[in-house]
Amino acid sequence: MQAPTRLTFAHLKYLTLAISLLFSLVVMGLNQRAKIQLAKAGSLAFIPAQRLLFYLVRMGEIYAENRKLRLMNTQLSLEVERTKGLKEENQRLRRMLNFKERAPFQLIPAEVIGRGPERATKSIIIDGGGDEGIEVNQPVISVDGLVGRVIKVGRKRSTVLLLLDPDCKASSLVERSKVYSIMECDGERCSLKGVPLYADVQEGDRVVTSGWGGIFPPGLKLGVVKKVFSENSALLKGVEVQPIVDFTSLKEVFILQGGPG
Amino acid sequence: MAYKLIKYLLLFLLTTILQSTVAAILSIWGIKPDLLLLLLFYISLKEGPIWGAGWGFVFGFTIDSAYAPLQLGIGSFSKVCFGFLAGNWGDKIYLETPQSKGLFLFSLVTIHDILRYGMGKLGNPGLAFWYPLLTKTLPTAAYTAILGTIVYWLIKRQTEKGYIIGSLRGKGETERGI
Repeated sequence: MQAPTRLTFAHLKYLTLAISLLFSLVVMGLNQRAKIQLAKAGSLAFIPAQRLLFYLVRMGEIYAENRKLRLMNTQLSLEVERTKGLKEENQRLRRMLNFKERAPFQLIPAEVIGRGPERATKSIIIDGGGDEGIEVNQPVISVDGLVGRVIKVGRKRSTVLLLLDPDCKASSLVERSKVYSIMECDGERCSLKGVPLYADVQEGDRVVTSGWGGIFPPGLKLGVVKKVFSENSALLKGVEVQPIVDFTSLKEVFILQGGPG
Repeated sequence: MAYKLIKYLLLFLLTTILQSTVAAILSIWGIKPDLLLLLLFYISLKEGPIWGAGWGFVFGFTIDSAYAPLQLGIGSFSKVCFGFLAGNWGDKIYLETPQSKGLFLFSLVTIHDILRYGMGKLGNPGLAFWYPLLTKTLPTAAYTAILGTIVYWLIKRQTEKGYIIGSLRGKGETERGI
């Protein structure tokens, strides 16, 4: 009873072998083009299925890797920002160093650590005080030009009144035509006061300190003449000046020692 | 039947992934174990020569279709022989210990590669035969056999502890009641 079953199994076994080998040999005998066509069909389901399984198997790994990469990305972004800040600081300090070497006065470097909260008062707080030898009324400059003067001194901190403040007037000189006047600001705009109608002042003229006021030494850059216009006066003309210092981005300043102040 | 088909199909896909990932990690001097042949060996021993030949054809044809279309047919031919011989001789040879299975696997991988390179050389006489046989085939066969021995030893150990029931036993072994 078992003999036919064994025979069937043996037949089936060799039949499978024969068919598989025959099919393989037939495929081997095909030309390249036919092989490629057949291979396309053969791998039609395999490659997407393999890829899908690959992602499923690696899902946890991909998730962990993704988290790690996100974290790394955040850290790198922060690092880039920090480096950018350091680069800018480095450039600024280089300019300041260069300026310090050229300046004829003794300079005390200080960093801006605060700005006056009052809108009406234009002042900044710097991280230098009496301990560094800073005194009231000493001129404060940046690499660009005059910033203002010291109005209050603590041991470690000082308050500087900016040139923009109406109380911070500076005796000035139009460099090209040697016209003397007083530069004062109203908090936003600055102008030269007491310029005679006949005075030779033109747009683009550079304005520096004259040294007459007794606080600021001569030759510190104040600004550039922006606009010249007729005032309601028969004797004087209006001169608007664009300050040379960008007061909104002040970071490091110098306090001048040994000047007229 | 359908369950087995799906199971082996998934195992096949998984092994192809492992072959390109884990096998590369296990590589020693550029020699990697052939995990696909190891799987085919396992299926053939467990299910017999019909399944061995059938899956050998599927493995060979699919892999050649995806990665070596110009050699289409050679892979299926050599793997059909491998699967059939493993399933057929596995019934006849006494393969109780993992070491004996490893030795058997070594012989079959060598035969598989001889067929593979031999058929390739028939189609292209310019192809080398002895050099890859000596530098690739024998080390690969040895490595695969060692890995197979370890796998079978692990399965045997787990079976003895009662964690796995019946999975170690091949068709012949089951028939013999071992």
